[in-house]
Amino acid sequence: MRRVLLLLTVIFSCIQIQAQTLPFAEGEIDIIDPYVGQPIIYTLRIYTTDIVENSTIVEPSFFGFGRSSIVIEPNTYTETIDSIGYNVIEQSYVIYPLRAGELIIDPFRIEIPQTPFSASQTILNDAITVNVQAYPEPMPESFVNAVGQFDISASADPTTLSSGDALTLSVVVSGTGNFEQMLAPTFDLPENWRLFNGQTDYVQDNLRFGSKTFEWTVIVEGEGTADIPEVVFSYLNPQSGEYETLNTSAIALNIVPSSPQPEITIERTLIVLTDVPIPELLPIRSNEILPPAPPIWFWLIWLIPPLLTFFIWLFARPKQARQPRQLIAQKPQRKSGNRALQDLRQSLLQAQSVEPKEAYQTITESIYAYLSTKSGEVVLKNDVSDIIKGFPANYRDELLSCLDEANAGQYAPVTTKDVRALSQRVLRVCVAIEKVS
Amino acid sequence: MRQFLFILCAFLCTRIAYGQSVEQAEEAYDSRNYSAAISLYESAILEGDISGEIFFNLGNAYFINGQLGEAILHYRLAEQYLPRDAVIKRQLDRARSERFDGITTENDWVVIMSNITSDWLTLTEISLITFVVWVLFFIVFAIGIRRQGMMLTVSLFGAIMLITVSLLGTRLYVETQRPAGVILVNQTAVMSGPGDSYLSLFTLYEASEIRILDERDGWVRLVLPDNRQGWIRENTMGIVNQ
Repeated sequence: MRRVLLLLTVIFSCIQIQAQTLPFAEGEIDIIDPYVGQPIIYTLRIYTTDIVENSTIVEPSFFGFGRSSIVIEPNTYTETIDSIGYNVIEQSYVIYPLRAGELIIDPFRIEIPQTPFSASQTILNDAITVNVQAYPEPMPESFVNAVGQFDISASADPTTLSSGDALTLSVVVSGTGNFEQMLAPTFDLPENWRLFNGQTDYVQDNLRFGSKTFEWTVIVEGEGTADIPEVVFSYLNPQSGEYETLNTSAIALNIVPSSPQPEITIERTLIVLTDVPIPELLPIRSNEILPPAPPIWFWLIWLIPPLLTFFIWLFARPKQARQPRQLIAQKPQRKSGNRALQDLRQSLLQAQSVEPKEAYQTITESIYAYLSTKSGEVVLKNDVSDIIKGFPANYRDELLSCLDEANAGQYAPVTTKDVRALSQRVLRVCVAIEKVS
Repeated sequence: MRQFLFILCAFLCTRIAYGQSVEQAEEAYDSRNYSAAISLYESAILEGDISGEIFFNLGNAYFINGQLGEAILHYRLAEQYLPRDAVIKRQLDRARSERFDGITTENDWVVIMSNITSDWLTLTEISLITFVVWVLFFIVFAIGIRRQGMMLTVSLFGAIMLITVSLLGTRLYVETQRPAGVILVNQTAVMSGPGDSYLSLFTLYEASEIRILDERDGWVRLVLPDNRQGWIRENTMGIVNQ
């Protein structure tokens, strides 16, 4: 009895350990109530007791979220939970909500393949609900979707240049936040200056910190000193939930009068000349007949050619198909019973003079020829039973038996004697049929 | 008889009225009163006086008036009526060179295939050419049914028919399913979804040319030649392929 109890205790403990050591997964986000566009880090941890290789992680659709281009390598380590050592695989994803409201991140599906110690398993973590906050109102005009904590600086190169020359204006935004979704800050320039969009570079130092550089090409006009006005940049600080505004200092420029260079002068004159003319009006021509797009009924007439062709095919095809049938049907001519019998007799005589196997084939054909001549139609193997329907039953059976023997004889060892016997049998049956009819 | 005369008179009066709007618009344009020319051309179009020349002239008025988006939109409308007109092409290139965003090359193979014909044929012209080829193919095919030895001719006509039908098919697909549009406002934010609560992805400036993929609740989903996608308000853009 004690032994049984001991055994049961051991089995129960084993089951308990097995249940405790099942693999599991958990997902976690670093911010549960982010603002629209604010990056959040989703961390997935897979806990297994065995060293699992080649497990497949099926990601959820992240509906309502955008995925950052930042790639994070998975991290593996060991962790002890309730005295059980687990191997942990940790994978992080940077995502950002695309709209305000309650968004749900569906579970990941992890497929662990079969190992020598365990069967294949599929595990799921829990879905996570994220409450996304809309941008607070009122939004400052200089807000460019930046959510985080930032610093800003601006520089221009060169700062001494001639009128009509270009300089590169760079604005660098650094800190922590949503660099990928951040738009370029705006600023005002003197009216006669021209601004062209340049490169935008984005560098992520690690998961949280990075910088984004916006560049513009500015063509300056005028003479003397001038300023590139300060760049105003507003961002939403998620810690305080308020907008904060940063200003760069104005950049002083020294614009010198452009030296008279004949080539440049000619080029500018040309530009001015091509810019000035007012485009001439096109005279209205009244001979326009076709509209740019065809009317609806036009597409219906496309059906006519295929339909006509189909009808031509429909009427032409049966004629072609009928022709060979008619040709074959014309061959046999209905003759009197005696004449049919005479033809049969001749064929059977011919069969005596050839090899036995060939003779059996000749006998088969002779029977078909006899029936064709009698009925006036082409008689094939399948038609025989219909043709001889009107014959007396005993002759009908005898004729069918002759046909079977003639067919079988083509594939069996036969002699001249057998050929003669079969020929006589066929002739006897046919003569009897003629007598009856 | 009286009824007929009445209808004839009404028709002639309408034609004269049409001509008058256009003539007045031309006068306004020549006297450099471009705003008046714009409204007169617009009213002529509303009255049904539609032609490639009127769209082009209206585009010119917009161009000089500084409305680059409207100018490009009307040049492109004019191009649909007169695709082989060199003056329209030159003026369209000139307007495009003035805009802020200058991306025009489209890499989508369907659009490239559609552009093979759209640069020199109207939709009606390519449809008529394809229809003639279509009819010829079926004539040859019908003859081929009755006569032997026409397999090569039928195959040749079949190949030509397939090519023209493919060209027409892609043209129709692009013009109906992915119509072109032009941004008409100074600048507009492109959102990640059809609503203001969505994230703003990037900014589009006036006269940018787009293709429309979808429409929902006053918003349109667009794709740019560099494959960027997003949603903008319907009233910030004009459609070329109507």
